[in-house]
Amino acid sequence: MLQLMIFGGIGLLAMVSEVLGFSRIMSLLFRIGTLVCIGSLFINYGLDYTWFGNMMVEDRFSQAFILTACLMLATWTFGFGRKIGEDEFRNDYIALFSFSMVGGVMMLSYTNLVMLFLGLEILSIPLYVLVGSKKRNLKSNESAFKYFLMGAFASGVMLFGIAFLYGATGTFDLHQMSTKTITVLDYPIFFQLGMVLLIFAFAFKMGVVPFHYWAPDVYEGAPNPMTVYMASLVKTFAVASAFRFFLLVFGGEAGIYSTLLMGMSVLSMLVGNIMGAVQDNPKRLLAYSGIGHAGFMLIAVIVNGALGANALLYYSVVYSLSLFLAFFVLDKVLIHDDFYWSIGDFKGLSKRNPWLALSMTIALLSMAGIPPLGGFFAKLFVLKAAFEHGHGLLVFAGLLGSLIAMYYYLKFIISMYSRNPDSDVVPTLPLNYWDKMVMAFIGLTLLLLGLFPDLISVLIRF
Amino acid sequence: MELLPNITIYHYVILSIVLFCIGAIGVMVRRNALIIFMCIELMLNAVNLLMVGFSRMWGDGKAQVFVFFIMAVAAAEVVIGLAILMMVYRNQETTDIDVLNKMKW
Repeated sequence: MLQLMIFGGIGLLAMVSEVLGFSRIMSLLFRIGTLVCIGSLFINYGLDYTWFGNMMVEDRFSQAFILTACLMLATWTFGFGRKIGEDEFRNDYIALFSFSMVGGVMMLSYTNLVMLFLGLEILSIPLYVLVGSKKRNLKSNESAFKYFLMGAFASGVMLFGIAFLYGATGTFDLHQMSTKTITVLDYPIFFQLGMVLLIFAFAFKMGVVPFHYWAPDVYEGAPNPMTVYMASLVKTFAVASAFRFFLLVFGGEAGIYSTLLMGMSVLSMLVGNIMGAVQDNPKRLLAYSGIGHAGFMLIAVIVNGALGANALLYYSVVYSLSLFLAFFVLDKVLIHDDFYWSIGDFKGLSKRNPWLALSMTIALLSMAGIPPLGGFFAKLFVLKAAFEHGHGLLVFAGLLGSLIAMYYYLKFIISMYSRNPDSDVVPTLPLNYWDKMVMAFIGLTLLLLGLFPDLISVLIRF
Repeated sequence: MELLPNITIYHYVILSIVLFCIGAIGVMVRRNALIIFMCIELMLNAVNLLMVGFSRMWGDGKAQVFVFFIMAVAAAEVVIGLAILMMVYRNQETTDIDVLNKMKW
């Protein structure tokens, strides 16, 4: 709740800051606000709070996810805040990011479907603006329009599902719904229809196959800081809110609905990575690999319970950090017109700037799941959880997907190290100390998480 | 007093599903962005109708309050949508979504 007030307050302040003349300190206020959120969560950790007449409950699950989301936001600001700060609309960006964090916090702590819907919309509406924030760029326009269309469609589907769930159970509260589902429902067909529609809407937001087709276009066209925010934090919010729904309503695996999720998970791990292997644009490649990673996160949702929550938390942290690092490098290398971006731009990067090449290698190896880095344990935890619950198919598909992903990650790395750069590119890419510090920090954190995988899992103890 | 005793909840459900499907198909097949926005509104209004029908069936007002939230959010959403459409129109001079084909596969 404190997090809601802080982010909402910063958003409001940022909107009026140009008029009242304190626009210079706004980015500082945003950073301080994020740190206050982190601090308050550490102090109140483990205590339960209820807000808005039991519509939002701050429990262990939501606290752990809000804490990691705030930590990731702080890392994101650390890495990309400067790029945002150079823009003339920086205070509007701060307002929009703060408001979308409000929505994210609501999605992580809802116990009522009204709050889920409101949180989803508060998260999405600022993002439609942020995606289209390069007003003269045709790709940015296109991706904003596509994202808006898909988002509005998905929220319509979600509302239809919520309406049917209400029709079947007579309540929007997840705890009451959970007790109702045990008994015989008056209208079981409404419940089934509602569940399927709600799962489809969650799948839209997570970007899993077969509702993934918007993701590569939107990620490609959006400005880099917005893309990385969407691909890491927003994906975490979407997956965690789906997790919370299944946790509160079914308290574990959800029978036939789990089977539906399983199908989507297997498809996204395979289709996402196969499509990723044939991409030439690095942003699209990362978007498709993100679809594969969303499939992995979905395994954690299927397994559910404490085991799944730990796996999901670890996976989302490691994936987000790898993505931050990859996009940080991407942002430094792809400085020319965005219609001609390709993997070829990374040829011989180690000769142009070894720091960037090393960072990209760490990020890609972590995503691929190579042992000393965090990504290995992320995949291991998820697959172990699936194995313990007897989902052999998921384990098999996960391993196969990782194997395909390994091909294009390694192809990328080999072209960075063993080729010579084209003659027409800038021979060296300058970096200042700040950039090196950001890359060293994220890279070392990934290594640290790989060496001490228990660092994250102490956060959740149900 | 029941004015229409023969109307059951299934009538509302079927009407809502039909309206929702008209909206969803409209979003998929129409090429004019403004018509697509109207179709999205139709989908949301189908949901509103269903909510009110179920609210009457269960005899409580929760869903009717939800309908107000949906209306408010739909208004906010359409504001953003029209702003994005204006941006596209300024650059491309058309509201036909077939011009948005810079990115594929």
